[in-house]
Amino acid sequence: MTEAVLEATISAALDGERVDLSVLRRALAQENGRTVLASFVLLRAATAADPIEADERVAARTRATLLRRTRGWFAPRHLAVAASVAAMAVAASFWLGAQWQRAATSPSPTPGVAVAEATRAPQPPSPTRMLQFQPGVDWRDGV
Amino acid sequence: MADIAAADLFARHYRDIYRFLARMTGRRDLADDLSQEVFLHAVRALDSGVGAVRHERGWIFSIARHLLTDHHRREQRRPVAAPPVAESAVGAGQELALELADALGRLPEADREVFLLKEMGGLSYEQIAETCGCTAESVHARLYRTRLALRAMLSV
Repeated sequence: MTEAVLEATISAALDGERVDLSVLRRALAQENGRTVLASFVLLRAATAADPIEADERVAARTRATLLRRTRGWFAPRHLAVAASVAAMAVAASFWLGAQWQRAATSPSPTPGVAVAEATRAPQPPSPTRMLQFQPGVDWRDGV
Repeated sequence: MADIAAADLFARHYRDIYRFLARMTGRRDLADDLSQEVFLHAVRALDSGVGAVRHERGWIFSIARHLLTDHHRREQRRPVAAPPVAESAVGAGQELALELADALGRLPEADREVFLLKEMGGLSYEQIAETCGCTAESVHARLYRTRLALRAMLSV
Protein backbone atom coordinates (compact mmCIF):
# COMPACT_ATOMS: atom_id res chain seq x y z
CA MET A 1 0.00 0.00 0.00
CA THR A 2 1.45 3.31 -1.06
CA GLU A 3 1.86 6.33 1.12
CA ALA A 4 -0.45 8.22 -1.21
CA VAL A 5 -3.29 5.80 -0.49
CA LEU A 6 -2.73 6.18 3.24
CA GLU A 7 -2.72 9.96 3.01
CA ALA A 8 -5.77 10.03 0.75
CA THR A 9 -7.57 7.81 3.25
CA ILE A 10 -6.73 10.17 6.10
CA SER A 11 -7.93 13.10 4.01
CA ALA A 12 -11.26 11.41 3.28
CA ALA A 13 -11.71 10.29 6.89
CA LEU A 14 -11.15 13.86 8.05
CA ASP A 15 -13.94 14.93 5.68
CA GLY A 16 -16.35 12.42 7.16
CA GLU A 17 -16.43 10.33 4.00
CA ARG A 18 -16.65 6.56 4.04
CA VAL A 19 -13.20 4.97 4.11
CA ASP A 20 -11.69 1.53 4.46
CA LEU A 21 -11.18 1.30 8.19
CA SER A 22 -8.36 -1.20 7.97
CA VAL A 23 -6.43 1.18 5.71
CA LEU A 24 -7.12 4.06 8.05
CA ARG A 25 -5.96 2.01 11.03
CA ARG A 26 -2.72 1.22 9.24
CA ALA A 27 -2.26 4.84 8.20
CA LEU A 28 -2.68 6.08 11.74
CA ALA A 29 -0.39 3.43 13.09
CA GLN A 30 2.45 5.06 11.19
CA GLU A 31 4.13 8.19 12.45
CA ASN A 32 3.94 9.76 9.02
CA GLY A 33 0.20 9.09 8.92
CA ARG A 34 -0.31 10.83 12.23
CA THR A 35 1.79 13.78 11.08
CA VAL A 36 -0.30 14.08 7.93
CA LEU A 37 -3.48 13.97 9.99
CA ALA A 38 -2.13 16.68 12.29
CA SER A 39 -1.27 18.85 9.28
CA PHE A 40 -4.70 18.43 7.73
CA VAL A 41 -6.39 19.26 11.02
CA LEU A 42 -4.22 22.35 11.30
CA LEU A 43 -5.21 23.42 7.80
CA ARG A 44 -8.86 23.02 8.70
CA ALA A 45 -8.43 25.06 11.85
CA ALA A 46 -6.55 27.74 9.94
CA THR A 47 -9.35 27.95 7.38
CA ALA A 48 -11.90 28.31 10.14
CA ALA A 49 -9.76 31.04 11.70
CA ASP A 50 -9.59 32.99 8.45
CA PRO A 51 -10.27 36.53 9.66
CA ILE A 52 -12.07 37.64 6.53
CA GLU A 53 -15.62 38.63 7.37
CA ALA A 54 -18.34 40.51 5.58
CA ASP A 55 -18.72 44.14 6.54
CA GLU A 56 -21.70 44.27 8.87
CA ARG A 57 -23.14 47.36 7.21
CA VAL A 58 -22.96 45.75 3.80
CA ALA A 59 -24.49 42.56 5.18
CA ALA A 60 -27.33 44.54 6.74
CA ARG A 61 -27.92 46.36 3.46
CA THR A 62 -27.96 43.11 1.54
CA ARG A 63 -30.38 41.60 4.02
CA ALA A 64 -32.63 44.65 3.77
CA THR A 65 -32.58 44.46 -0.02
CA LEU A 66 -33.49 40.82 0.14
CA LEU A 67 -36.39 41.39 2.50
CA ARG A 68 -37.63 44.43 0.61
CA ARG A 69 -37.76 42.32 -2.46
CA THR A 70 -39.87 39.66 -0.79
CA ARG A 71 -42.00 42.17 1.08
CA GLY A 72 -42.33 45.15 -1.26
CA TRP A 73 -45.04 45.80 -3.78
CA PHE A 74 -42.72 44.60 -6.50
CA ALA A 75 -42.35 41.15 -5.03
CA PRO A 76 -43.32 38.65 -7.74
CA ARG A 77 -46.21 37.27 -5.74
CA HIS A 78 -47.57 40.74 -5.09
CA LEU A 79 -47.18 41.68 -8.73
CA ALA A 80 -49.17 38.59 -9.69
CA VAL A 81 -51.95 39.52 -7.29
CA ALA A 82 -51.95 43.11 -8.54
CA ALA A 83 -52.12 41.91 -12.15
CA SER A 84 -55.05 39.63 -11.31
CA VAL A 85 -56.94 42.44 -9.60
CA ALA A 86 -56.30 44.76 -12.54
CA ALA A 87 -57.51 42.12 -15.00
CA MET A 88 -60.67 41.54 -12.98
CA ALA A 89 -61.30 45.29 -12.80
CA VAL A 90 -60.98 45.63 -16.57
CA ALA A 91 -63.31 42.68 -17.14
CA ALA A 92 -65.86 44.09 -14.70
CA SER A 93 -65.71 47.49 -16.42
CA PHE A 94 -66.40 45.93 -19.81
CA TRP A 95 -69.31 43.93 -18.42
CA LEU A 96 -70.88 46.94 -16.70
CA GLY A 97 -70.39 49.07 -19.81
CA ALA A 98 -72.08 46.47 -21.97
CA GLN A 99 -74.99 46.23 -19.55
CA TRP A 100 -75.45 49.98 -19.48
CA GLN A 101 -75.31 50.28 -23.26
CA ARG A 102 -77.90 47.54 -23.70
CA ALA A 103 -80.25 49.24 -21.25
CA ALA A 104 -79.87 52.59 -22.97
CA THR A 105 -80.52 51.38 -26.53
CA SER A 106 -83.25 48.75 -26.13
CA PRO A 107 -87.01 49.78 -25.75
CA SER A 108 -88.76 49.22 -22.46
CA PRO A 109 -90.36 45.78 -22.42
CA THR A 110 -93.77 47.25 -21.16
CA PRO A 111 -94.13 50.78 -22.55
CA GLY A 112 -97.77 51.24 -21.51
CA VAL A 113 -96.95 50.76 -17.93
CA ALA A 114 -94.15 53.24 -18.15
CA VAL A 115 -96.40 55.88 -19.74
CA ALA A 116 -99.16 55.28 -17.23
CA GLU A 117 -96.71 55.64 -14.42
CA ALA A 118 -95.41 58.86 -15.86
CA THR A 119 -98.83 60.48 -16.51
CA ARG A 120 -100.77 59.29 -13.50
CA ALA A 121 -102.64 62.25 -11.99
CA PRO A 122 -102.51 62.95 -8.31
CA GLN A 123 -105.54 62.09 -6.15
CA PRO A 124 -108.40 64.75 -6.24
CA PRO A 125 -108.89 66.82 -3.13
CA SER A 126 -111.67 65.95 -0.72
CA PRO A 127 -114.85 68.22 -0.93
CA THR A 128 -115.06 70.93 1.71
CA ARG A 129 -118.66 72.33 0.95
CA MET A 130 -121.74 71.26 -0.94
CA LEU A 131 -123.59 73.48 -3.52
CA GLN A 132 -127.23 72.77 -4.38
CA PHE A 133 -129.14 74.29 -7.34
CA GLN A 134 -132.93 74.18 -7.55
CA PRO A 135 -134.62 74.06 -10.98
CA GLY A 136 -136.72 77.14 -11.67
CA VAL A 137 -134.99 79.02 -8.84
CA ASP A 138 -131.34 78.91 -9.64
CA TRP A 139 -131.80 78.34 -13.35
CA ARG A 140 -134.57 78.05 -15.93
CA ASP A 141 -134.81 75.97 -19.00
CA GLY A 142 -134.72 77.85 -22.32
CA VAL A 143 -133.40 81.13 -20.82
CA MET B 1 -41.55 33.18 -0.46
CA ALA B 2 -42.16 34.40 3.03
CA ASP B 3 -39.97 37.03 4.60
CA ILE B 4 -38.95 34.55 7.28
CA ALA B 5 -37.72 32.03 4.73
CA ALA B 6 -35.60 34.67 3.01
CA ALA B 7 -34.24 35.92 6.31
CA ASP B 8 -33.46 32.38 7.42
CA LEU B 9 -31.69 31.59 4.18
CA PHE B 10 -29.60 34.71 4.60
CA ALA B 11 -28.81 33.95 8.24
CA ARG B 12 -27.78 30.39 7.52
CA HIS B 13 -25.46 30.97 4.58
CA TYR B 14 -24.48 34.58 4.03
CA ARG B 15 -21.30 34.56 6.09
CA ASP B 16 -19.85 31.47 4.44
CA ILE B 17 -20.92 32.50 0.96
CA TYR B 18 -19.21 35.83 1.47
CA ARG B 19 -16.02 34.22 2.78
CA PHE B 20 -15.99 31.75 -0.07
CA LEU B 21 -16.41 34.48 -2.67
CA ALA B 22 -13.90 36.76 -1.00
CA ARG B 23 -11.25 34.06 -1.04
CA MET B 24 -12.12 33.01 -4.57
CA THR B 25 -11.94 36.53 -5.96
CA GLY B 26 -9.53 38.18 -3.55
CA ARG B 27 -11.76 41.26 -3.61
CA ARG B 28 -14.09 42.34 -0.86
CA ASP B 29 -16.16 44.66 -3.04
CA LEU B 30 -16.74 41.94 -5.58
CA ALA B 31 -17.56 39.45 -2.85
CA ASP B 32 -20.14 41.92 -1.49
CA ASP B 33 -21.79 42.32 -4.88
CA LEU B 34 -21.74 38.65 -5.75
CA SER B 35 -23.03 37.63 -2.33
CA GLN B 36 -26.01 39.90 -2.76
CA GLU B 37 -26.63 38.48 -6.21
CA VAL B 38 -26.46 34.94 -4.85
CA PHE B 39 -29.28 35.58 -2.42
CA LEU B 40 -31.40 37.52 -4.85
CA HIS B 41 -31.08 34.64 -7.30
CA ALA B 42 -31.97 32.15 -4.59
CA VAL B 43 -35.06 34.07 -3.52
CA ARG B 44 -36.14 34.56 -7.12
CA ALA B 45 -35.71 30.85 -7.74
CA LEU B 46 -37.77 29.96 -4.70
CA ASP B 47 -40.43 32.51 -5.68
CA SER B 48 -40.71 31.04 -9.13
CA GLY B 49 -41.28 27.61 -7.62
CA VAL B 50 -37.94 25.94 -8.07
CA GLY B 51 -39.39 23.10 -6.01
CA ALA B 52 -37.92 21.29 -3.11
CA VAL B 53 -34.22 21.91 -2.76
CA ARG B 54 -32.49 18.68 -1.86
CA HIS B 55 -29.38 20.15 -0.30
CA GLU B 56 -29.92 23.79 0.49
CA ARG B 57 -26.27 24.49 1.22
CA GLY B 58 -25.04 22.74 -1.89
CA TRP B 59 -27.67 24.57 -3.90
CA ILE B 60 -26.72 28.01 -2.63
CA PHE B 61 -23.02 27.36 -3.17
CA SER B 62 -23.83 26.21 -6.70
CA ILE B 63 -25.50 29.55 -7.32
CA ALA B 64 -22.41 31.29 -5.97
CA ARG B 65 -20.15 29.26 -8.20
CA HIS B 66 -22.28 29.92 -11.28
CA LEU B 67 -22.32 33.64 -10.62
CA LEU B 68 -18.58 33.59 -10.15
CA THR B 69 -18.16 31.79 -13.46
CA ASP B 70 -20.48 34.30 -15.13
CA HIS B 71 -18.46 37.11 -13.67
CA HIS B 72 -15.23 35.69 -15.02
CA ARG B 73 -16.88 35.24 -18.40
CA ARG B 74 -18.08 38.83 -18.38
CA GLU B 75 -14.65 40.03 -17.47
CA GLN B 76 -13.30 38.09 -20.45
CA ARG B 77 -10.26 37.02 -18.58
CA ARG B 78 -9.03 34.22 -16.50
CA PRO B 79 -9.52 34.91 -12.85
CA VAL B 80 -6.44 36.29 -11.25
CA ALA B 81 -4.90 34.44 -8.38
CA ALA B 82 -6.71 35.59 -5.32
CA PRO B 83 -4.39 37.68 -3.17
CA PRO B 84 -5.01 37.65 0.53
CA VAL B 85 -7.46 40.35 1.44
CA ALA B 86 -5.81 42.83 3.74
CA GLU B 87 -6.90 42.44 7.30
CA SER B 88 -6.65 45.26 9.75
CA ALA B 89 -6.21 43.13 12.80
CA VAL B 90 -5.20 39.57 13.31
CA GLY B 91 -5.50 37.81 16.61
CA ALA B 92 -2.42 36.56 18.30
CA GLY B 93 -1.40 33.17 17.01
CA GLN B 94 -3.59 33.55 13.94
CA GLU B 95 -0.77 34.22 11.50
CA LEU B 96 -1.21 30.77 10.03
CA ALA B 97 -4.70 31.75 8.90
CA LEU B 98 -3.27 34.61 6.85
CA GLU B 99 -0.47 32.48 5.51
CA LEU B 100 -3.07 29.96 4.44
CA ALA B 101 -5.10 32.67 2.72
CA ASP B 102 -1.99 33.76 0.87
CA ALA B 103 -1.18 30.19 -0.11
CA LEU B 104 -4.73 29.66 -1.33
CA GLY B 105 -4.29 32.62 -3.64
CA ARG B 106 -1.38 30.86 -5.27
CA LEU B 107 -3.30 27.66 -5.95
CA PRO B 108 -4.94 26.89 -9.30
CA GLU B 109 -8.52 28.14 -9.21
CA ALA B 110 -10.08 24.68 -9.46
CA ASP B 111 -8.07 23.43 -6.49
CA ARG B 112 -8.84 26.51 -4.46
CA GLU B 113 -12.51 26.14 -5.27
CA VAL B 114 -12.78 22.52 -4.18
CA PHE B 115 -10.81 23.21 -1.01
CA LEU B 116 -13.01 26.18 -0.06
CA LEU B 117 -16.23 24.39 -0.90
CA LYS B 118 -15.14 21.69 1.52
CA GLU B 119 -13.59 23.75 4.28
CA MET B 120 -15.72 26.89 4.19
CA GLY B 121 -18.85 25.45 2.64
CA GLY B 122 -18.79 22.19 4.53
CA LEU B 123 -20.14 20.36 1.50
CA SER B 124 -19.79 16.64 1.06
CA TYR B 125 -17.78 15.17 -1.82
CA GLU B 126 -21.07 14.37 -3.54
CA GLN B 127 -22.33 17.92 -3.19
CA ILE B 128 -19.04 19.41 -4.38
CA ALA B 129 -19.09 17.06 -7.35
CA GLU B 130 -22.63 18.16 -8.18
CA THR B 131 -21.67 21.81 -7.83
CA CYS B 132 -18.54 21.55 -9.94
CA GLY B 133 -19.86 19.05 -12.46
CA CYS B 134 -17.31 16.35 -11.74
CA THR B 135 -17.20 13.05 -9.91
CA ALA B 136 -16.88 12.50 -6.18
CA GLU B 137 -13.68 10.55 -6.84
CA SER B 138 -12.22 13.53 -8.61
CA VAL B 139 -13.18 15.75 -5.67
CA HIS B 140 -11.51 13.30 -3.30
CA ALA B 141 -8.30 13.26 -5.30
CA ARG B 142 -8.22 17.01 -5.81
CA LEU B 143 -8.80 17.74 -2.13
CA TYR B 144 -6.09 15.37 -1.08
CA ARG B 145 -3.61 16.87 -3.54
CA THR B 146 -4.53 20.41 -2.51
CA ARG B 147 -3.99 19.61 1.14
CA LEU B 148 -0.59 18.16 0.40
CA ALA B 149 0.27 21.24 -1.63
CA LEU B 150 -0.82 23.57 1.15
CA ARG B 151 1.02 21.50 3.67
CA ALA B 152 4.19 21.89 1.65
CA MET B 153 3.65 25.61 1.11
CA LEU B 154 3.02 26.33 4.77
CA SER B 155 5.44 23.77 6.18
CA VAL B 156 2.88 22.45 8.60
